[in-house]
Amino acid sequence: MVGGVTIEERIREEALFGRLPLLKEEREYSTRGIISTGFTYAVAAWCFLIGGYSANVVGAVQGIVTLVCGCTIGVIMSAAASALACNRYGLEQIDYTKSCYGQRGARLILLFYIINQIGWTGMILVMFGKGVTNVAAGLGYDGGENLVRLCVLAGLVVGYWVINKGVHVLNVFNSIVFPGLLIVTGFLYWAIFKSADWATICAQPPIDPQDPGLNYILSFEYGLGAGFSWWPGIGFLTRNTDTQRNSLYPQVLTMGFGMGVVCCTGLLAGLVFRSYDPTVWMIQVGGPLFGVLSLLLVAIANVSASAMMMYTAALALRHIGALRALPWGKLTLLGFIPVLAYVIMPSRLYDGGSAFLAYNATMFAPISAVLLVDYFLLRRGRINVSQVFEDAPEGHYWFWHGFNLPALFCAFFGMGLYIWLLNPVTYAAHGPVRFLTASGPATVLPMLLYAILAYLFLVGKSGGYRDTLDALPLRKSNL
Amino acid sequence: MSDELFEQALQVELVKRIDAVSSYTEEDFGRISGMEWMVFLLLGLLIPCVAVWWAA
Repeated sequence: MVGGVTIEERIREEALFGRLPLLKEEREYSTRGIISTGFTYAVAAWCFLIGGYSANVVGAVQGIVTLVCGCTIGVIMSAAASALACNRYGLEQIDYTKSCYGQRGARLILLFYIINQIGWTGMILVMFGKGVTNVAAGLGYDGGENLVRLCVLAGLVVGYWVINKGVHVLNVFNSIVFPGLLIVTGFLYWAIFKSADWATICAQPPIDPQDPGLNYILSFEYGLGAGFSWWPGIGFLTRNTDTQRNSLYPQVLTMGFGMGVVCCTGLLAGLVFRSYDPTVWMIQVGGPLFGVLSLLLVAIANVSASAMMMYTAALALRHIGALRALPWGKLTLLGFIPVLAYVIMPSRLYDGGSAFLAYNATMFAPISAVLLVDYFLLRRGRINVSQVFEDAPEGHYWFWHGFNLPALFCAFFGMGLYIWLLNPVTYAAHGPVRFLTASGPATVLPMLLYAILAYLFLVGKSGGYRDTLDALPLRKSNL
Repeated sequence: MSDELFEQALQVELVKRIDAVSSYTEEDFGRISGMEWMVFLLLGLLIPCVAVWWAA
């Protein structure tokens, strides 16, 4: 027994929230459980922000179609391979990606995983700071940029405290936040349609359109980016589901379609009240009382969500050998350091949020595409679990010095292709992006290329594609 | 010492769990048939793509 906790309890904790494969009898989510958890994740404060970005570039009808369809497609593409594999083998997401990208190559993918978590954490903490600043301004106090900075810092401190108290504190936060956000979403829809009828909303032009031929594509990419943003969280949830169907369909319904619908609140409110920023339009929609109450709830939701993301980011850092032995307090602190950039220049990074949103599609569309080919086409939906934890060069997933070079090449090729087609920062567009989108070619071409390269250089030669699936003794465990 | 004990127990538990998970079959988690996949992809990818094409 250590500090009042038995070794059995620590192992159980390691299975639920760490890297040990989760057994069938330990899975907690049946259909109802995963649907309610999925909605808890999907109805998040950033949905209002994502909808606002679309309001910048398109009108109501185009915005609704692109957000709902983009979120749905993004979640299907990012969930299909990961959800089924993580469910069947009870594996954590990055552990599963080792079968495709290699033991060391998966750490490169981990980098994108952590960028996603840190980026969203910073964004929603600035949103929290801006919300508080706007509430203070409504009460006659102009805190300006410094108040935003102070709030981001305070959010980080609370988040750090929460994740060091344990995941149970997060569950308490979420039990308050989810019903509250659901009520806020319903209230916002009611208030929007009270302010303007459907014909008036449809007649509203976009707030800040870019290139006329590109606006629609940008909004679709925002929807796809929102869907692909779930890639890091998929394994964490689906390893805990009881069937293959429950690992896939509820995610599409909740984090895909459901999230798209909630994003539309931000879109419609943005169009009617002429601001992409929810911390501005929420007070206009709800008035001084309900607007401030909604903002306060969103603020709590943002701190809760940021703590959750930093929790999973810290768990992911355990994949790096040098960090594995660090005490939990220091490991989590390490994850918080890059978020300090949002304390230094909050508004600048917040205003570039739409670029970050599109960048999620840039990162995860090709990564998911290669995983799909590897798991379904090359491995026929089966991996050797023992080899996921094998760190010796003789292991199946060692490839070349721990890297599956064709897979990594195809993923990076896809990212480069996306940026060439549509630069998410400058909006510079090339090639057929106006007809094919950027995510489309950045998904399909890496899939085709990887299938060819894998048959030429991998299958039957390296990567354990035709080797036994029976558990093998571990030479050097990576846990 | 207690951390060392935990590390040892963790490795033993890992091997036990790998054996257990490796013995699972497709039927243990309810296999998704080829037809079901087709319907899922049709509803999940084709219809949204057509909707996006229509709204453009």
